Amino acid sequence: MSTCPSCAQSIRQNAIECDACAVRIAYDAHGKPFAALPAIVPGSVLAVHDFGKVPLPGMTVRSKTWDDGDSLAATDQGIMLTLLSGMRWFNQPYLRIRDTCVRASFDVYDNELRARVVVRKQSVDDASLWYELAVTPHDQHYRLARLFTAPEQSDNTNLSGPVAHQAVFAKGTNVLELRAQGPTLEAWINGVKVCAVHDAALGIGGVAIGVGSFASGKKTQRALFRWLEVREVAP
Amino acid sequence: MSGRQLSCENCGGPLTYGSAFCAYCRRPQRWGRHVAVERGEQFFVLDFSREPLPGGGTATQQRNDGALVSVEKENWERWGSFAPKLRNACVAVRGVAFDASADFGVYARMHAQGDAKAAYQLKIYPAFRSWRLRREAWISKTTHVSSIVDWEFSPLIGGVGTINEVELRFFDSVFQVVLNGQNVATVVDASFGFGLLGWVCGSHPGPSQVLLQFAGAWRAR
Repeated sequence: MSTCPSCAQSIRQNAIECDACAVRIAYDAHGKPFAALPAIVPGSVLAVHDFGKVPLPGMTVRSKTWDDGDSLAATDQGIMLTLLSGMRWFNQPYLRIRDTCVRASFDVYDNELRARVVVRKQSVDDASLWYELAVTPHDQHYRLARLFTAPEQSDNTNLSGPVAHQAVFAKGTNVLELRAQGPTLEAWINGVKVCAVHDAALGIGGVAIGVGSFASGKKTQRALFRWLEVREVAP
Repeated sequence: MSGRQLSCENCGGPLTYGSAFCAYCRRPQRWGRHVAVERGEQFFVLDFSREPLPGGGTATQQRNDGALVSVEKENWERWGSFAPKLRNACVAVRGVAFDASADFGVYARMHAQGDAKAAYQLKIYPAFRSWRLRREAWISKTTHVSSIVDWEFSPLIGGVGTINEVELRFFDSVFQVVLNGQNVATVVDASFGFGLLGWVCGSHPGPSQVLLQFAGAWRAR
């Protein structure tokens, strides 16, 4: 008996769909099953934020200093975030959505900073779950993952990567795009599709961008947020 | 409209409920007001008078009428999971609450992010003939919850000492709560889409005991 290429559970012979995870299955010339994932095509624009002109999602000002020393500084090109430790999130407050294409542009200036775009971010009390496409430009790595965070602990399941990919630019501007349609997720970096996966665990949630430092202790890390675009999925 | 129709009439591809078009053939979709999720082919049926309760451990005593689950502390839960992981299914447990502190029910779509887990939980509280449906996310011993339907009385639920069957039917984002064979509520919630099934027994003001007699899972159609 074959196993599902997506969830690794048993599938019936010549099945066109996995009974367990509902992924559509096709077969290669050797009869080996593979997940037949539908293409995700960006459609109409739902929201655009040009950070050269407007605040980050969920913020009312373009420049700010937090008590812990993290800060935002408005520039003509966008908003420069200076992070000393941990993570900063900027959640689009009105788009709780199933199928969407989220694209954001970042410059990361320091080596121990991870930039990410997020879809289907949902809260369960003060815990959160989400999908993210993240890059660490200095080593040209990307990762597509499902994450959990709560005040007491965080954890994740990697869906693709972390792995080096030449689509990630070590310096300058990176454009990250995460597309979600039903249980299909696609990750695009600088216009290159780097992976597509079937993962039905999270079905709906908010849109966000964020950066996180993985430096030990407090160390200044900087990133420039240029813009964020949220689109529908086109037929 | 039935759950069976959550596949494209044109290409047979799986649909998400309410989607404007089929992701595979791009044909536009129209949706009726109701989707009825029904039991299809059986995945498994477990009779706990003969088979061990998965995850029951030492707190469970197997008897000739089922598995007696003891929850020793107040406001506590014991649970276990059943393979396989499923996206669409009907899962049911039948049991008897032996005291006014006991509740029981099912888990659906329990999935992990590393050591963290998230799932839907449907429970009945026979002492108050009430049920609830909620989302849970937990890691270590801390559980975070958000309510979908909070404790709500239903005349379909039997009291303490009577047999109750609790069933959750789910197809994509459509959930149907079925208590003692009758549909009580339909909820649309797309938060979690895939994972294990499970059973759960809990306690409220004091320790509790629940006799779990049976669990089963069926294809949703």
